[in-house]
Amino acid sequence: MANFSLSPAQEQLIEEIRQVAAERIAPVVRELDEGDDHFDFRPAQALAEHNLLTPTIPRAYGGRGLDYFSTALLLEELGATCAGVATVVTTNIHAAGPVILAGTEHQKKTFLPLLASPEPHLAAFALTEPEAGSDIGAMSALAACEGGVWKINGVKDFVINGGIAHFTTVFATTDPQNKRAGMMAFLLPSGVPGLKVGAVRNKMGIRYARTVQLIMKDTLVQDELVIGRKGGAYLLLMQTFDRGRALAGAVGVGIARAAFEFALRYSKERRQFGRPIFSQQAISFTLAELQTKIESARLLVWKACWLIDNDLDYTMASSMAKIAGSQVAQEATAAAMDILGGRGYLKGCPVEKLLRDARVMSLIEGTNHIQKAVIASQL
Amino acid sequence: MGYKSIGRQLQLAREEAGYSQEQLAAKIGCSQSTLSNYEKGKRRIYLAQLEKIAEILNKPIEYFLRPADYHRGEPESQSGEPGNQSSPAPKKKDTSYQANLLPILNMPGEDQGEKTALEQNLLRLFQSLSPAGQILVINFVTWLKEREVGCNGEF
Ligand SMILES: Cc1cc2nc3c(=O)[nH]c(=O)nc-3n(C[C@H](O)[C@H](O)[C@H](O)COP(=O)(O)OP(=O)(O)OC[C@H]3O[C@@H](n4cnc5c(N)ncnc54)[C@H](O)[C@@H]3O)c2cc1C
Repeated sequence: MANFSLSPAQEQLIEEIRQVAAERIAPVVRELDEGDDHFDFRPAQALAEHNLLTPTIPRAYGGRGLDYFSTALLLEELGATCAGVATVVTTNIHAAGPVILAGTEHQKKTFLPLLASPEPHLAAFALTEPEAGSDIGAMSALAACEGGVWKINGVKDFVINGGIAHFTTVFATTDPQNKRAGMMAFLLPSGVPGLKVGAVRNKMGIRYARTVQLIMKDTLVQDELVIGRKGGAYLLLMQTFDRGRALAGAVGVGIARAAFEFALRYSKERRQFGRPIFSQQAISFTLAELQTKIESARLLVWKACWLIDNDLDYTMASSMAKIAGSQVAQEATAAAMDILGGRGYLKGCPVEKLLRDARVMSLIEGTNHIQKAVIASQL
Repeated sequence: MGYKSIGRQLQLAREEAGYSQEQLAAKIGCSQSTLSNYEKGKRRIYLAQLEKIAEILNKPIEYFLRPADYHRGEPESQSGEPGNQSSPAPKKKDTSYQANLLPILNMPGEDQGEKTALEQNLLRLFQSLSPAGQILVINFVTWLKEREVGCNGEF
């Protein structure tokens, strides 16, 4: 592992995504930040054309087959361009995760190629409920099997890509007394009867990532759409989280990098007291510290992804990467706003959007408190 | 917390099947220390690995996932993201005869097969004891069981 240079293929991937981001995403970022209710397919379309909308889909199913390390490189670039777009991609990766890990061949052939097609297809991941956030054991969405068909009733909240996804990976319980062993994962194709979109969540940041409530009322799901074997969904969920968190860290690193680069440029151009503000140690040391923290967080993300790709124990590393990435995103955007002075606080200034986007990073994919609990449980 | 309880069930099933950690680790293709960490809940076991173990130990996956106190019919406390490490609020210990007997009376169905001569003998002796004596035996067996499975005060 002690090799910190990227391979030519990884360098090329970064070039490719930087080009897509600069030509097809960056020009529309401000528009994307405006509305939560309508979904603008242009960025998703651009990524789909490069088979990067769900980059972890295995090649056997038409995907790009990127490993987690390369996926983290991609997500750092997307995070630096628009964290909302990056979050749509991580949600697709999340939703596809259980199918890749434990889906039947039929499920894989039906759902994975969709996410790898040159048309933008989205997937959603529905776990959180109004009364079950960090405490997924409080889940109350109920699944009951009647004659080989499952009936699901319950409400899911904060579902990114909800209502515009081609399928939703939904978690429900068969046994309220015993939610871990009773937990089940289902694939709900779009348009399945009884699945309705509730409130559209009007968010402070990552506004491109459309986020809704999903209501399941007697939603019928065929038995062949159960993911993994009975009793195994809890373990699938944890594995999906453990992988996803490293990627959330990568998005945080991207946000931090964008804020840092913007503030650095500005500090060298902005003159006060007859010289660039960068010449003040208060500014240059802040930037030096940020650079150090960004690099540290990136290395944690890389390490976690390397462990995932090598099937080594990655739980703790992934939580550490998520904490580090989200913290540096919040710290860098706040510091960048200070460096920009009043201009940084104006709508339309990229740092203002970055700061709002960064704020959610300690909440999603399991709050940072929960990450600390994960780490502590392994000490 | 999820993984400590999964680990305990794993240790229980392994010991029941008569495997040492080394033997089971060799069978599933991991190191003894990895298996030991699974059992202590210090490393998360994932579905594919648990499926292998479940097959070798001849148990359904659900066996490992249900809380150790499932037979008591209590909802699992904070089983969510492992975060949920906090143990339930300490309950006042109920020392009544009924309360002490409850865990045994509600043992899961799978334990209710034909009784061996030793078990029958034990039951006869147990039944001949005074209620206070029976409580003592239950407390001792519970203590022994907790020691065997490395209880961490989760239930
Ligand atoms: C923008 C956005 C997008 C999201 N997208 C999705 C999605 O696509 N799919 C999905 O299923 N979910 C999604 N979520 C939900 C997200 O995962 C939850 O918000 C998160 O898990 C926290 O749950 P909660 O909001 O209910 O907070 P709560 O669980 O109520 O937590 C409130 C506070 O208490 C703390 N806390 C709770 N329990 C503990 C504990 N045991 N130890 C220490 N601190 C604790 C938390 O850290 C937090 O600070 C999204 C959320 C947001 C904001």
